[in-house]
Amino acid sequence: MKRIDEVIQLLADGQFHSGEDIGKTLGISRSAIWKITKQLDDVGIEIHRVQGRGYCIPGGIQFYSEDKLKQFLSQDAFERLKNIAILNRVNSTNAFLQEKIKEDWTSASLCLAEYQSEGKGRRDRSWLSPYGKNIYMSLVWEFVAGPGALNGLTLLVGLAIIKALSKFNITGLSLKWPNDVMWNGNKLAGVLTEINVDDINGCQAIIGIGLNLHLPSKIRNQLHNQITDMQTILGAYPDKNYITALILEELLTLLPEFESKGFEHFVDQWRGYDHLLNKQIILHTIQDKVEGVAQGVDHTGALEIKVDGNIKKFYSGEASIGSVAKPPFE
Amino acid sequence: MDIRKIRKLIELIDETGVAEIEIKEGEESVRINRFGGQATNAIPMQPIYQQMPMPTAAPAAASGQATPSVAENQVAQEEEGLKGHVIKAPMVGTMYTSPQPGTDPFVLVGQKVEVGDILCIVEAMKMFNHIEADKAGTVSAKLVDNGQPVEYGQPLFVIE
Repeated sequence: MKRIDEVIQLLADGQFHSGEDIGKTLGISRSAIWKITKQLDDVGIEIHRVQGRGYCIPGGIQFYSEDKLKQFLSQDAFERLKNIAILNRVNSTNAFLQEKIKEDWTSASLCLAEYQSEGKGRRDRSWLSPYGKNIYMSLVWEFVAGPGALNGLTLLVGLAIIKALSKFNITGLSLKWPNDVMWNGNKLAGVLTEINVDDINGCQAIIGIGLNLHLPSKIRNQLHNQITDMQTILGAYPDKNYITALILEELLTLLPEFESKGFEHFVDQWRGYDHLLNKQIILHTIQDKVEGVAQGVDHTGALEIKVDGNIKKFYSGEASIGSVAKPPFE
Repeated sequence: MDIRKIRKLIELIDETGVAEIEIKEGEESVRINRFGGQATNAIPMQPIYQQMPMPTAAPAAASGQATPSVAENQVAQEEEGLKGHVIKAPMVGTMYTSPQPGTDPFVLVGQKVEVGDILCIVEAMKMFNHIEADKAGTVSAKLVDNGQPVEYGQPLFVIE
């Protein structure tokens, strides 16, 4: 274990630890500790330094644990997981599984990480992944059908997250096409799916999920409060292994159903959470900008927008509520 | 059995003029018939049809038909005016020619590629499909620009 990880373990209880105590426990100098606490900033850990008391990670850190995960998952779901990787730090959980697929990690294989250095978000931006404070998970699932049959997979995963969170009786959750889970207009979770076409076995999908549990105030300020987390919604949040287990349970139930029935089977449920429905929106595509009124999604998951009286279908793009003429509001 | 192996077998048949070849590997077996006879196999053949360069978008339900012969495929491509091995979009979406905006493209026209090299990404609804070369050779044409929408089965690249 690296020094930085030892310091994180020690401070994970959320209590103050004096520099002297940390130094004694880990056998390092106080100046080395000071350097390490600087490194904690780099991985997005908020650390308080108080003269006379020492160092503290406010709120502490919960770690992933396979034992806990097993405890929260149904036996059926746990047995479906052929491989489980719980990582401390990784470039991205999707990238990790992309490599593991070559070593025959098949349906269903799971990767969880405390920290991602290159978390994948939208194509043009990374997913902010502070250490230990969020859920970063990816799941490998193989489909017998070709990629054309996987339309709407990302939308389905969003629905699975909403279903998982229903245990907490949260009101105000919605789904923003195509891949965001929102709470009162702020982003709570995101989904990104990568697929490899394998001629013999059909398609391998790597489903990546990021869900905010307790964002450091620094990140929150950077994003002007357009994001939210479970801490804000619930005032406190349960063990992240529990939330992860809830999401996995839904995915492992819904994916086989999706495989046999397609997104069409879920479209009505998805429509019930449509964040953009009947709103004036702007859809930014890589080459264009389209303005119109969102009409909902079709049976493949494509977004329909009424543009100048005509309904057009879109398969890609970043949607935002508002219009060019008027400032965005909800 | 690896599709690359099967593709090699098809090429082998074409080069040598052998009428039929059957390979068994454990419980899996595949028989390739040059003249469009009934192909039998222990593995699902359906995905292979999708990957075969066919003139029109083959519906996924096309299984049960015999594997189209190599000669037929070449004729089909010439009808489209594209010579060489055509890489087609496996789904509706948007074409991305580079891994990230502002970065170098995966491949340039004139570049040599190996089997398994990534040529582009087709994305729909945040599902990113890495399109790999299934044949080694030189990229002789790029048929769709970065950021353009693509239809199912639309030709993206030609490899010669």
